[in-house]
Amino acid sequence: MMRNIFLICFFLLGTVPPAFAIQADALYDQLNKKVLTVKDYTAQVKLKIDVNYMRVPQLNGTMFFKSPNKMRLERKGGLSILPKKNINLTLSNLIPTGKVAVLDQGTALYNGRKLRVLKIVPDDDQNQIILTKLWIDEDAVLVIHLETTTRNDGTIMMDMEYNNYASYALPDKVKILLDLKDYKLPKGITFDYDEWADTKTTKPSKSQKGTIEIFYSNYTINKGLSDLVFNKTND
Amino acid sequence: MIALLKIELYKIFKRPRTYISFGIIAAISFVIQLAMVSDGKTFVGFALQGITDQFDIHGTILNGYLIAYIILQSLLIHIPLLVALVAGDALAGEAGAGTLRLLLTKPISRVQIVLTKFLASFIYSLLLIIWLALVALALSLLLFGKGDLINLKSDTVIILLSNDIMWRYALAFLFAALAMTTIASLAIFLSSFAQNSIGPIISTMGIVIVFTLLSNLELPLFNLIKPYLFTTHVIGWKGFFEDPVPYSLIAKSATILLLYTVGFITATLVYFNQKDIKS
Amino acid sequence: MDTMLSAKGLSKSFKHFKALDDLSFDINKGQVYGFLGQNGAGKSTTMRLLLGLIFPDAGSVYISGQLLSKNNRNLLKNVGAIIERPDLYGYLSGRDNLKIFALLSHANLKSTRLDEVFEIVGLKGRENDLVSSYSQGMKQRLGLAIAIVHNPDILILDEPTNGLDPQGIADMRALIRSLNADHNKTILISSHLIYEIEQVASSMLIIHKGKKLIEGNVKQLLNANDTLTNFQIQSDAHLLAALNNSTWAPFLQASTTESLSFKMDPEKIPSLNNWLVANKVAVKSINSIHSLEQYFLNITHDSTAKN
Repeated sequence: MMRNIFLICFFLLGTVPPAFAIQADALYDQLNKKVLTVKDYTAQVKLKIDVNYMRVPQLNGTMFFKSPNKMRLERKGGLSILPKKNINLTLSNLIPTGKVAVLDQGTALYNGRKLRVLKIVPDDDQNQIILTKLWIDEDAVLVIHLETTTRNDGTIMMDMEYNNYASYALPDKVKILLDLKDYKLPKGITFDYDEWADTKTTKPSKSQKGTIEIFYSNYTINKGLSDLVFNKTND
Repeated sequence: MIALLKIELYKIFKRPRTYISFGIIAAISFVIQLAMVSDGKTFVGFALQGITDQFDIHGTILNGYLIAYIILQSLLIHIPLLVALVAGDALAGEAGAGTLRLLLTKPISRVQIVLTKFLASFIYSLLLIIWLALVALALSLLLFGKGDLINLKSDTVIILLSNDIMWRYALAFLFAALAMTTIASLAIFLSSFAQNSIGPIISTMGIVIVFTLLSNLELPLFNLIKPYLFTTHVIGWKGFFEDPVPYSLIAKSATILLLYTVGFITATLVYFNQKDIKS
Repeated sequence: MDTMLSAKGLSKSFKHFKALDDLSFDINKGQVYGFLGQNGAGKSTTMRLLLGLIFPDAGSVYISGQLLSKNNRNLLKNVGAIIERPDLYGYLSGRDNLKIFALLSHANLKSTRLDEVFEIVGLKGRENDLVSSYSQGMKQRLGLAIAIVHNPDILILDEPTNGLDPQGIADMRALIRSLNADHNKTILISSHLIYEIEQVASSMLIIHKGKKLIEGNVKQLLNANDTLTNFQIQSDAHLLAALNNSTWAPFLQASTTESLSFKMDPEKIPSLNNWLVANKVAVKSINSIHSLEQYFLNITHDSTAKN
């Protein structure tokens, strides 16, 4: 009820008075607190890669996470393919640590949902993250969409869906949105087979966007994970 | 004809040069496997440059399936030569040695002789492929273990899961046996003209190399003839490592290879049946 | 009499060279038939035509009365042949070679038969050695073994004594005679040496430049009455008139003031000599040759002179 009044006042005033800035901070704090309750987890994951020049079947594996930034995807000798980023793709890593400025960007519609948009800017100039923009479901205090601009790895964009583990801000589904570069190898090296046929199995697509969807299930949260789990090399 | 076939196979496998072929296949496989053991990661890193710019790939990239696939690529050039080594000698070698003359004084038709030599060459090619499967696949799996396979095409990257690969290899080897049979039939055809096996062996290789170039060069002029060249279809075994597998394309390729094989053997029969044996 | 091997009007050209021109002959059962001709006369071409190695431009070959064709090669079951030098699989042993060709001839493959044949051709003890270690003579023997292992009724032997030492030659001739006399084999044997044919053949044919020149029974063709006797003399023109009026006239073949040639039985030479001396002819020398041999030598000489 109180929140609704706040929202009405927000729309009526149409500006971001100091009261809303505090509210933005408060929302951010709530979110952060939720996220930081997760010290570690293990989850079964399914990876679906949708990249125009890749044919990859669904990859099943186990995701390990330990706060603050240890993460590993295990496929028991099988391959895992994740976007090349030096930052682990966990929420806790995509939200900058340390002192930050929380800027209220108001609300916005995202995929038909009205979400609160916060811009998080670290005070520290040297932080890997330059800024993070969060689209938050205020009621549930959950990040639905984020765009993190990093120092070295461009912008990371993710969509999140939650279900059984919403209370921990652990998503059931994460969709990583990719900007793709062209992939090409000389035909003289690859000796492709289907070149002689008019119909090829891969049609070159003009789309430069791709996605990686990670489906999480069977989270085991805060049971304690040894650091050794993250020392295994998969190569 | 079974007796004739047994005699042909006996003659083939009594010659030391036959075993050179098996030795070469083993040598190529060992060399590649050794290279992978010592420097495989560099090779993989280089090969995956186009993807690792944008993606982190973890896991056992360098596994038995990948290495076997790399060795199989040598099918393009090396094994046709080894097939031609025996098939090219089938008629020309006997003509040069003078034994063809004696053979043809016996109560067997020339048709029987050609067909028997073709069958013997087919069996030899099959044994070569089985041997390849053992040293390239079985040994690679033993040394490097299983894993998912990355198949790099010019414009696509295909990942095949470890439990979805073995049946592909089985079909690929079967197709390879067919492809090598086509090469053998070409070699036998050329062999029917010569009095010495060097000519047919080199000619077969020359044709394979030139046609392979034509099959792979991206020139509009060549694009017209590509679908009709047998070398375009010899690599049809690679279709089994695509996702989805282009079965109808592979079937077309197999049909074309069969047609070439039948064509070469028919031409050999027609020519050889009326040829004066002056050697 | 059964005709075992027959050539009817065989002609064969290689590019612009006519190797055979309308050659016909019949070989009856139990005959040893000699095929005589200088090198390049067409002997091997004929042999190859008889075995279906090459195909005639005209004419046909009959084996045991049946036409030899591409679809009728079963007729060769009853034929054994050596064509030129016997080339064999050098990387296999003598035994393996014999086994292979015996199999192809549908022969009895019992090792006793193989041993028997090795004994006959004089290769016992060497049968398990690689043929690459054989001398030419041994290869020739193995070639003969391959020709007889399946017990054919017809043997076609192209210069079978090539490469053999004198003992080998004698053995080969004895074997050929034995195969004919004891086993009633019909044998066609070719050679460029007349005495070789003389030794073994009962009938013969001379081929020259692809054409048949003479054919017939060896004894008749080499009949004593056809011996040519040449007298080197010193005489004058009166002698010729005297000769033409004498009983020796029918035997005179050629005459000059320095030489006389007579075709007659050599038994008559002393009488003729006496007549010449009585007619005041100085006889410097006398020599006799078979007229056939002379004929063959003339051909060889003609050919050499032209070349």
